[in-house]
Amino acid sequence: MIKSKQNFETALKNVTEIAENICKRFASECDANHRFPCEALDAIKEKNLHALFIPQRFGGWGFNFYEYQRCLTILAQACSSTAAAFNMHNMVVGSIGNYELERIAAPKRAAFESKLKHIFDLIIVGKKIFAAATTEPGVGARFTQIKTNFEKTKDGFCLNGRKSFVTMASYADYYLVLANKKNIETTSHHWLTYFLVPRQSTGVNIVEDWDVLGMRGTASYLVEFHNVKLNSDALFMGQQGFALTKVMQQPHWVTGGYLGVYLGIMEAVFDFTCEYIRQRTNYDEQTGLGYKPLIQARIGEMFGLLNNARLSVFESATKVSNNPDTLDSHQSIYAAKYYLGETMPQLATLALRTCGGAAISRKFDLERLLRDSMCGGLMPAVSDMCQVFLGKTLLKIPELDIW
Amino acid sequence: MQLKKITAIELIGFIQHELLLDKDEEMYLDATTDLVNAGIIDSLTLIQLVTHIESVAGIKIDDDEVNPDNFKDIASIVAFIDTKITKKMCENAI
Repeated sequence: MIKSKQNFETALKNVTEIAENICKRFASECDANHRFPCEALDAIKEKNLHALFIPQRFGGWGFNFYEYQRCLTILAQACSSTAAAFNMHNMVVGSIGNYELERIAAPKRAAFESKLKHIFDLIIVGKKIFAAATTEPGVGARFTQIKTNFEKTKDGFCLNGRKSFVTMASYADYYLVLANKKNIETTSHHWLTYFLVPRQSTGVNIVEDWDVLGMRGTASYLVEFHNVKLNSDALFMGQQGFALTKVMQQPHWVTGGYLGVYLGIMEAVFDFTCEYIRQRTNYDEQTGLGYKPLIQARIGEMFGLLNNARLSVFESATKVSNNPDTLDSHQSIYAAKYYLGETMPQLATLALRTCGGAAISRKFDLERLLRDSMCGGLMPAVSDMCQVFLGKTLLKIPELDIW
Repeated sequence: MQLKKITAIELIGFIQHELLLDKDEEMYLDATTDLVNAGIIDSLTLIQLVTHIESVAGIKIDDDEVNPDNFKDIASIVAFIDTKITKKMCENAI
């Protein structure tokens, strides 16, 4: 499955160094001040790790989904905000990184390839970072109900609307904005289209309103688009409409990306708990806290949850890497997202109970991890949507759209 | 290149045999099946479909014409091809 073992190990080493030397240093401070961890993203760009999904022949690492999730988990273990931001960029790039170009006949292939190269050059040569701008105030991740709209102009397009939770809104160079055609009835999602919008465009306004419970360093601001004029090149991959199909056909780019982030948080919670327990003594001060059968049972229970999460993430990532288009892969991704979204806060709560009252102090990482863990089930696809997708497909209900 | 109309059945055959190769289940398609809701159309499959239509029907499809109005289902695609062919025939006749 791993195309180049050496390539993969080099990336893992680089990611681990960034996680250990940079992410861990800034994670608490970024959380406390809801500040974006730009040092970590700068280091990621420096090592070209923002090109993990770009094929090797275009100058990237050529990673598949499994390899990517392994890297993401390491980052998240050190700083969940860094990993969540890194993931947003990769979900944009990954969605176009794995095209089987040989399936396109020669006359059209060159044109398609040049569109891909244009985007990959922005990333590799221009060191640009992309952010996904899809969810909206009052709409959430119900993509079929999106109100941000575009209209054709003489020179290109004009964009209007508002996007919420735009992770790294103040850091990314481009936003991938999902918009519907103006004056189209809201139930028609065929015209949903992606645009690549430079952050510096006239008419783009960032509302720095991100002061939230968890994932506080992600700078997931509200971004407004007021009559933003775009040239034709802004049409992502030159395609008008049909954006929803990609979400439905390869849901891992929207839903599955978070998995490594959540698994990393769970790994960090578990590591913290074990380390904390090892250093604590029982009330009689004769033995370590870990000698109590109750504590041992709790650690065992926590490991059970963590181990199932690992299996769920890496099995679904493997399926997606081998064949992203099958129902089995889709079900696996939705099931993993649901499982981790629900299990992550459960594990963090269990950690708190295991460690006891002193561990609630903000001087310990567990307090931050507990807050970060609360948000997983709310990210798209939210837990309810994951369940509905699974229910629909398992009951063989033909209408598969949950968005 | 010779102009040739394409039927809905021919297009369904192409989609099932060429575009849905990776699907693990056979998908039922008819002329009104919504290609977006069925998860068939994306950047890659759209290009494959356009390339196929151009080579079989003998027409040139502009990038701007590759949009949901013309490609949302098989019936729309067939109607679009018919219109293009008729227009081309009229131009040739002048």
